[in-house]
Parts: sequence; C-alpha cells; structure tokens
Amino acid sequence: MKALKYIIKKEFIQLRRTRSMIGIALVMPIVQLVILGFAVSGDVIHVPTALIDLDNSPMSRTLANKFDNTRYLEIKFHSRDHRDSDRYLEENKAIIAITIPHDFERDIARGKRPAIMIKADAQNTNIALTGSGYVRRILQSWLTSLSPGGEIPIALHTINTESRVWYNPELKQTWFMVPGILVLLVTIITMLLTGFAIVREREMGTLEQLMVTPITRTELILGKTIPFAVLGMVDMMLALFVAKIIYQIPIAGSLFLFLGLSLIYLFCTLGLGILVSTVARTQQQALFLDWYILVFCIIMSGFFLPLENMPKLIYYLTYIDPVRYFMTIVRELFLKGSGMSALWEPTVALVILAVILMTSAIIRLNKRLG
Amino acid sequence: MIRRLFAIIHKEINHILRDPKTLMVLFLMPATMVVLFGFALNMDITHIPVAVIDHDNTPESRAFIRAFTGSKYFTAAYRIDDVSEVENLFKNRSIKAAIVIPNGFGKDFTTRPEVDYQLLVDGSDPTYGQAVTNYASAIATSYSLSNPGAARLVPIEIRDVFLYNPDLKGSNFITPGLVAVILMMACALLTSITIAREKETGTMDVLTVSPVRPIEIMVGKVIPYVGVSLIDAVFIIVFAKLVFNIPLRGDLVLLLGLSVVYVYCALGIGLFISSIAKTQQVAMMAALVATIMPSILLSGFMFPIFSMPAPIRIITYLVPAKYYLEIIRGILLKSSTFGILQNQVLFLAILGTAFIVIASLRFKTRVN
Repeated sequence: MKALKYIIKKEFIQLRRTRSMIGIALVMPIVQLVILGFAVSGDVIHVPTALIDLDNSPMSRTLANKFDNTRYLEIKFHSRDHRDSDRYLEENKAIIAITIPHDFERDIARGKRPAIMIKADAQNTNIALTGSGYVRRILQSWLTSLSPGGEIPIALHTINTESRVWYNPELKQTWFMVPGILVLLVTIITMLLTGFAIVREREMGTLEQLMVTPITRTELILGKTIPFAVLGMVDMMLALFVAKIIYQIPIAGSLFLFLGLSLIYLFCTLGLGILVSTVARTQQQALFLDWYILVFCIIMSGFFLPLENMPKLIYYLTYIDPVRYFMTIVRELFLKGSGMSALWEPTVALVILAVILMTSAIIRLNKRLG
Repeated sequence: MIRRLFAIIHKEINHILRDPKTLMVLFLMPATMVVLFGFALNMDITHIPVAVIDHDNTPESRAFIRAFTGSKYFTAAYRIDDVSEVENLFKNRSIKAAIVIPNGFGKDFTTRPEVDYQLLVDGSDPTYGQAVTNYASAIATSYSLSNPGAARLVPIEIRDVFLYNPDLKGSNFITPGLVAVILMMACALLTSITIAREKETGTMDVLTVSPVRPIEIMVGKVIPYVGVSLIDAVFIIVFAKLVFNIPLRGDLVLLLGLSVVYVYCALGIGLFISSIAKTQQVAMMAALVATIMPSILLSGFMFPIFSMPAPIRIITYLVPAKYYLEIIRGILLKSSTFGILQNQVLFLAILGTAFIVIASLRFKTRVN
C-alpha cells in the first residue's frame, strides 16, 4: 500500500511538472464547452433565403413582407428575375428560393390557384425540409389573414393540438447538448491521459525499471489510474459548474448520485485507456487507437444521432459503448431528475463494462510484462 | 537543397512505413465511419412510441387515434387510463409522448368548429420533441382537412423542389462531410507528432547541426504526409461511392486539386501545435482535443453555421473544415466550378500559410 502512495505521488509530480498538460486537461475542455455549447444551441433559424417576386402586385408585396418579418428565414435577396432562383442556390448564397409567379394576384381572384414554388438546396435534408416547412407555415398564416374577417371555412372541424412539453418546455437545445458535450470532453481527456501514461514509460524504458521494484502490478495500475480519476472528477465538476453558470443547465436529479455514477464511468474510460496502452507500442500508435475508439464511441453514444432511429444491427453495436450509457444517465438525471429506479439499467451496464475493461487491462499488462 | 529535402522526405516515409498500426487506423477509421454513419444516420424519426389515453372512447375518438397509430410516425406502445402513469413511462424511456383525448371529443367534433386534444411530449431531447409536436399537428390538421372539398377552399398551390439531393438521402450530405472531418484530424494528428518526437528523443539537435535548413525540415516533413492524406481522401471517396453510391457530379480533378490546399492547411495546424509543444504527449493531446470536437461541431458538418450566434460564426472562420465542406459538397453534389469556390480556396490557403509561417518562425527561434 505504501508503494501505491508513492506511485500516485510520482504521477501527480509528473502532471504538475508539465504545465501545458494541466492547460490541456483542465482549461481546454472548459473553453470548448463554452464555445461549442453556443454552436449547437440553435434551432434552424436565419435560413438564407432568396425571394423572387415575378408578380410585383400589391398582394405579392404584402406576402413578401410576411417573409421579411420572421427570424426563421432571412431574406437575403429580393429579385424580379426568375433565373435568380437557381443562381443564388448554385452560388451557395441561399438555401431556399421562393418564387411568386406572374399574375399571382389576378389568378387568385379568378380562382385559378397559382402555384408558389419553394426551391431548396437539399444537401442537408434536415435544413431543406425545415426551411420549406417554415415557408409553408408563413403562407398558411397569410392565407388565414387573407380571407375576409380571417375566418376559416366553417364546413371544417379543425382539431387543435394542445401540446405540453415536459422537462424542457422551451425545447432548448443547450439543455440537451451541453451535458452531452461535457460527457464527451471528460471522456476524451481521461482516456488520452491514461493511454499515454503507460506507453510513455514503456517508450522511455522506465516501465522496466518500475517492474523490477517491489511494486505489484495491481498497485502499478491503480497508481496510474487513481490520479487520472481524480483529475477526471475535477474536470467533471469544473465543467458542470461552468455549464450551470453559463447555460443554466437544470440539474433536477441528485448531485451525489451524479458524482457517484461519474466515478463508475471514469473507471470505464480509464480502463479503455490502459487497454489501449497495452496494445500500442509507441505513443503515436496509442494516439491513433484512441482516436479510432473515441470517434466510434461518440457516434454510437446518441450524442447527436438519436439511438432510436438506428437500424437494429447498428443499435446492438451501441451496447458495447460506455459513453452511450453515461450519456443517457447524465441527460436523464439532469433533465428529468431520474433516480436509481429509472437508471439502474445503464448503471449496471456501466459497472459490467468497467469491470471487464479494468480486468482485461490488468491481465494484458501482466502478459506483456511477464 | 533538393538533395537535402529528399533526404528528409525519405526519412519521414520510412517513419510512416515502419508503423503499420498507425497506417491501418488511417484507412480503417474512414471505412468504419462511412459505414456507421451511412447506416446509423437516419434523419427520419419514425415509429415514435406513444401512450394513448382515450377518455372519450367514441367512434370519433377511435378514428382520430387511428390516424396517429396508422401513420408511420407513431406506434401505440401503451393504452392507459390515467395521466399520472405518464411520468413513469417518460422516466423509463418507454414512450416519447402521450395523446390525451378529452371526454366529449366525439360530440364536440361533430357540433363545434374547433376541438382540442392534448399531446404530452418528453422534451428532454429537443430535436425529438420538436419532431413529435410537428408530426402530431400535421396529422391533426390533415385529419380535419380530410373532409372532402376542403382542398378547394385553399386558393393557392405550394410546390416544393429539392435540388441537388432530390431523394433527400442523408448519406449524400454526411459522407462528403466525413472526408473533411477525418482528413482534418488525420493530418493534424500525424504532423503534430513529427517535430515533438524529434525533440523528445533528442534527434532534433542532430538535425539542426546538420546542414539542413529549418524550412527544408518543415517542407520535407510535410510532403510525405500530403501524400498519405491524399491517398486517404481518395480512399474515402471511392469507398463511399461503392458502399453508398454517393453522387460524383462535378470535376474530380478539381476536387483533388483543392484537397491538396485543404491538406496543406490541416498539416499546417499540426506543425503549429508541434512547434509549440515540448513533449509528444502534449502535442498529441492538443492536436486531438483541438480538432475532434470543433471539426465536428463548428464546421457545418451537422449544425448549420448560419443559425449560430454571431461571435461563434466569427470563430468558424478559423475552422478549415468549414471551407473544405463547402468545397467537397459543392463539387460532388452541385458540380460547382472553381469560380464559385474561389473564396473558400483563398481562405484555406491563407490559414494554412499563416500556420506554417508561425510554426517555422517558432521553430527557428527554438533552434537558435
């Protein structure tokens, strides 16, 4: 046990000596959290739009005005030339081009149902569909105001959807994404730190020196993980504090439960890190393996691709991703205030993964050194 | 000069070839990402599990509920009697929404112009919550409009035209984006180590007392990685073409040419980090942390830049992946020409040169 204390002390001294390391492990995640949180905060708004009014009648101008007064669309270009709709899209200047046809006002008066055309750059299908949805919504509200008295045809029985949104009534993206970013940043940092810690000793030849001392292997592994677990927890709390202050993330659940589950999770990422370092010969290899695993885990975590949408086969793959479980835990605990009764499944999965990862890391390290 | 340059290039190529594990990751990575993303990415949200609470239980209310459960968007996972059960179902992640039909719905529907029903939504995932709300009101509206003759009451027609991706396939958008993201990370990671490694092992001092000039070291170190990265880029595009049949509409030679500019810029970032960092570990951590999240989140890969707040939009000008995304999507999907993309190319060239100049300046002062 005394030996363990010395190893931990040694790691802390090493950490302290590389000042830039502290910067990367503590400052960079926080800075990124702040910036990235704002980047993903938005709904699709200010969609760059071109409005081509071929009619130029009083009615078409009122309609054009409607499009100007919304934050969902940003009318960047007004034009009278039908060729512009293609040109603006082609030159990446607009995503949506709305064309009001010739004789629009006259055709409406004659009951000829003129067609308004919405052209969308559909590279990003999500934005194209949302954008054209905005246009439709504005057209509909204009139609309602158009008919005298604003009445809706009485022959109809309209059914109103009275929706009540729970947990995140304003549907704020930040409430959902910022906890996710927090999880990812802590994952990246802790996995990299442990991964390098052992490879570095091997590359420098100091690992052999350590092995001939009376330190046992378990002590070595624990000595290598505990300091990073501490650092990871500090990172987690710091990031949480910043997220709370800047983004006013609600934490509906128990903070203690969160910290406890975080600790379990950190043993998963640290175990992964050590496992990587037993496979890699050089720091460069460790880096590239880490990179591979991290990107895989991020995609499969449900961070930005909803798990429910994935095809079954891919969905099964997410079961081996520790990030996925912790992502669920953090979001549910923060937003819904879920306790253990609702979170026991992901928790059990995390414990199992942590045990598997840590033991296989220790076994592999033994083999490599023995 | 040329001979010394070749010597450095030769040395770096040896370094690359001697490490097959790294090379393997360089090619395995994009292949995995393309497959995972291509399949995992499904922007359509369908079969949303809902709970149905029908307090009315009349033919009208049942027909209305069928409009929901008969669509591909909603699946009735539970039929419950009491709203108080909803909270538990939300917390266990069993349902995403609950449809509540009030007592008297059927009677009101036939006698009154407007009737209400309630939709309870789990808003913890806002994208999902928004989709649920939108689908539900669309279904309710079209159900009320299904009354024959209603269409005639709308005096205009609305036509949608979706350009460049008429089938609305998500993989057409994501796969070119992957090329940008993967290349960025691969280049920055590869070069971030090259100088830091020489510093750590002490071979840098050997290099500097040799007659090789700093700029030759820089250029010699960059050229082999440009080669590796371009092979990687071609590999990703061909792989994506074979697996997901993404369209290749534009000029591929132009794309390759502009990729060189992007790779140059990405390598510049790696060199820059390498010239600052004292140890390999610091260089690698910095390179990974600095590229992985920003090139995914700040480049327009998934989240549209025009919707970001102004200060963040300014920061995105420093993200090279942003420009390359516009280039590669433009060429592959819209067959854009050089004339349309020249600004992006210009920015990439300026950014890359700035990074490399700063890196060699720092490198020079270090050496002296």
